[in-house]
Amino acid sequence: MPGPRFPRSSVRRTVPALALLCALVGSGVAAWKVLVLGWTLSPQTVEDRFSVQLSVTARGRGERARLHLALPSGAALARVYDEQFTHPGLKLAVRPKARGREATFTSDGSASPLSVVYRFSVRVPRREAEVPVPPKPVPDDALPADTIPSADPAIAAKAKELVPSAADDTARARGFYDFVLDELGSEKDPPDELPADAALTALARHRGPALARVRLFVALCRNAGLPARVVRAVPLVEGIDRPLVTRAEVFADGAWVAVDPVRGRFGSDADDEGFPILRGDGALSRGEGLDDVRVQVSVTREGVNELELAQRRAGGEGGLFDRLSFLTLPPRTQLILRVLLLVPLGALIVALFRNFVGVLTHGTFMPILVALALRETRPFAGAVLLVVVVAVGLAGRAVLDRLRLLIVPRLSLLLSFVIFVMAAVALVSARLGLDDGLAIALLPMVIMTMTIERLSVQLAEEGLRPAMKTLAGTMFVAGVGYAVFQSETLQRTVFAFPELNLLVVAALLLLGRYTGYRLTELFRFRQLAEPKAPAAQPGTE
Amino acid sequence: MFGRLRRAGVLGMNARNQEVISRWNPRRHYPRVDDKLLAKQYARRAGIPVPALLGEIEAYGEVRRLRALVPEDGCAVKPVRGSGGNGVLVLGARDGERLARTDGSAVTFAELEYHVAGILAGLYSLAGRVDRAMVEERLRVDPRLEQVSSGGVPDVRIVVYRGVPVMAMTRLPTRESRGRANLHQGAMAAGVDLASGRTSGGMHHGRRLDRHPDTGVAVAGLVLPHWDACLEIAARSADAFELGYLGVDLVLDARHGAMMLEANARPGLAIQLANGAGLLPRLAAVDAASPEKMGVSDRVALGRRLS
Repeated sequence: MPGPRFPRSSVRRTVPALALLCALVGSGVAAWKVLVLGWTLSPQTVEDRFSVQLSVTARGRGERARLHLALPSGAALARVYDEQFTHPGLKLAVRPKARGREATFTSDGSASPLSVVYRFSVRVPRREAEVPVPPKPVPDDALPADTIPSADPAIAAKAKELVPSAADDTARARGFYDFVLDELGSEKDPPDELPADAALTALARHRGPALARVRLFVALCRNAGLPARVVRAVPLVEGIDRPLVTRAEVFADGAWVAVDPVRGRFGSDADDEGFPILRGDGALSRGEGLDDVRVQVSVTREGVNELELAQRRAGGEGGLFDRLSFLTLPPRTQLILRVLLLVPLGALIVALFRNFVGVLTHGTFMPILVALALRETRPFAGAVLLVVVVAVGLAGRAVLDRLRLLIVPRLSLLLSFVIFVMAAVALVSARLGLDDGLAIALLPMVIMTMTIERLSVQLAEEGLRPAMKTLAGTMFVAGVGYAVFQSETLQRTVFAFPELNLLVVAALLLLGRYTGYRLTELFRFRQLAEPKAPAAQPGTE
Repeated sequence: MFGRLRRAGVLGMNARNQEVISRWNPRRHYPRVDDKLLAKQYARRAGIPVPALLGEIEAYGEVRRLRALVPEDGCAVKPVRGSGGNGVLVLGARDGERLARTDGSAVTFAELEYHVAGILAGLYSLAGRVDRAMVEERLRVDPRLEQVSSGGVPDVRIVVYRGVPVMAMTRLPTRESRGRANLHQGAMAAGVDLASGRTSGGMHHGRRLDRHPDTGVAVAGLVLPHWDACLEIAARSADAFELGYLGVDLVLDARHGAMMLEANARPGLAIQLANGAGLLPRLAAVDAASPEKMGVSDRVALGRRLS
C-alpha cells in the first residue's frame, strides 16, 4: 500500500474525541428537551401565531407630553394574547374609544427621546367562522369627516353616476370598489401625511396614493348611505419594519365587509391580509407636545408548540431551558438570531464545498455574506443586482486603472462608485415600481468592492476563464447557502434547539482533519489516474 | 471513489496542506521564503547563487530612483512579497524613456512608476499588505533552452521534501504567459527526470501537450544544463530555510549557470501532472530513509534514485 505513513500525533486522537464530545452534548441536550421536556423536534404549528411588536419613538420638547397609540379592540381582541407594554419613565392608561381602544403614555417632560414598545401575539383564524366580527357601526362611520369628504358635490355626482340607487348594499359597495380598483392609477406614498383633500384630488386626477384611494372608496360608500371606514392592518408576514396595510370596511346588508380597493380584494379575502389594528382614518400613534413620532412594526412567526409545551411542562417560569430559551427575546432580536444561528451551518457548507468538493470561491466567507444579502432582496432580483453592480463596477475599475491612482484612494473611489450604482439602481427600480430596489442597501458594499478589485486583478493576471470560474463558484456556493438560510424548518428547529450547532462544530472538526482528495481533483489529476499512467515505484532499484 | 488517485499516489490539496505543509513547515520560517529579499540573504549566507540585487524601493517617494536603478540592458522589477509571479515586470533594453518588455511591447517610466506604486500599495502581495519593490539583474536564457521558451526565461521547479529533492519540472514561458514562467498564466511545463535532468512529457493548462505552443519544438528529451548544480542548490535551500516541504525555483542563466530565484513554502501540485507521477510514493520513500542525519550529497543521491 503506497502512501507515506506519518507518525501518529496526539492531534489524531484529540480531534475525533472532541468532535464526539460536541456531538454527544449537542444531541444529548436536544434529546433531553424532546424526551423529558416534551419539545417537538420539528416544530409544526398547531395553530399559527404571530408575535407583533410596535416600537414607537418620539422626541420630547421638555414639557408634559402625551403619546397615544391605537390598540386592537373589540372582537379582534379575541385573537390577541400576551399583551405587553414597555414604557420606561412614562405613565400608561388604556381607555376605550368610539372605534377601539387607545393607550396613552404620559411623560412629565423629563424623558426624551421617548420610547415605547407594545408587543402582542395574534392567532390566525383557521376557519371562516373564527374570523371575529368587527364592532357595530358608530354614527361617525356614516358621516362626512375632514379626510372623508362624502358630502362633496364631486363625490355625490360620482356616487350617483356609478350605482343605481335601487341596488342592494353589497352591489353598491361592489360598484364603488370596481371603480376605485379599475379606474384609478397608483402613485407612491408621499413621505408626509396626506392632505385632507387627498380623496378629491385622487378623484379629479384619476390616480393617487393607496390611502387616498381607500378614502375615496369610503367617501363614496358614505355618500350612498353605507357606513364605511378606513382600516389599518398589520400584515402577518415576518419581517422588520413592515409597512401597514391600508384597506376599508363597509357595512353592507347588516354585516361588515372587508374591502381592499387597492390590491383588489373583496370580502373574506381582504380580511386575510392582515390583523386590523386601527379602525378609522387616523394615525396609529400621535403625540401631544412631541415631535418626530415614529412607529416601527416587526412581525415574527411563533413556534407555539414548543413554547407552550415547554412552559407547561416546566411549570410556568421555573424551567432552566425556558429561561434560556431564545423564544423569550423580543421579536426583532429573534428574527436576527434565527438567521445568525444558521450561519455555522452555512460555514460548514462553504468548508465542504471548498475542502471536499474543491469549488473555488472569492474569499472564504464571501459566499455566506452574499447568501445573507440575498435574503434581504428576493434571490433572483438580488443575484441580478449583484451581477449588474459587479459588472458596472468592473467597467469603472477599468477606467480607474487608466488614471494611475494609488491603491487606497482607488479602492475608495471604487467603493463610492459601487454606492452610486446601487443608488441609481434603487432609483430606477423604484420608478419602475419594483420594491426590491431599496433592499439592496443591505448588500455588503465593501465586500462587493473587494470582489470587484480581486476580480479585476484576477482578470488581468489569469484571464477571463479562471476569474469567471471563481465568480461562478462563489455564486453557486452562495445559492446553496441561501437555500439553507431560507429554510423555515431549519430556522425554527435550530432556533428552538440551538445546541444542534454543536453537531455542526463536530462536523467542522472532522472536516478540519480530512486529508482525502477533493472531488475536483478527480478531474484535475484524471490523466494520472488512467491505468496506463505508470505509478512510480520508489526505492526499488 | 478516489481509489484510482490513491493507487496512482497522487498527493491531494487537503493532504498537502495538513500532512505535509502544516507538519513540516514551521510558520515562523515562512517569512524566509515569502520575503524575497530575506530569501536572498539566507541563500547567500548558505552559499547558494542568486541573481544580483540592483536596488530596493520601500516608499512611494523613492519611485523616482527607478531611473537610476534601471540599467541599460534590462532588469526584473518584482514585489518583495509577491506570489505566483504576479506583479513581476521583466524589462529589456532601455531606449531613453522607453523600456522594452520581453514580449515585444514597451512601457514608459511613468507606467513603470505606476506599476511600482501598485506593488508598494500591496496589490500583488500575499495578504494585500503594504509591500516593497525590488530590482534584480536581468537573466538570459541559456542558448540550449532558447527553442522552448518565448519571450522569457524558463525556470526549474524542484520540490524538496525533508531536504531530499523528490520531483522536478521545468516551466517554459509562452507568448500566452507573456514571458512569465507561471503555469496558470499559460506557461508550459515538462517533467524532469531527477536522475538525468532529462525532460519528459509536457503539459499546458492542465492537459498533455508534447510540443511548445509557440515554436512547435518537442519539449521532451531535452537535457537540462547544470543539473547537478540544480539538485545541490535545491537540497541546500531546504537547510537554509529550514522548511521540510519546499518548492525551489531555479533559473539556468546563460552566464552564471544555475541560480536560485526564489522558494515557495506552499508549492503547487501540478508538478505531478507534468511528471505523470504522484508524489506520495516518493514522500514515503524519503520518510523511510530518515534523511535528517544525511549530508547534502547523500540526499541528492537519494533523490536521484527516486525517479
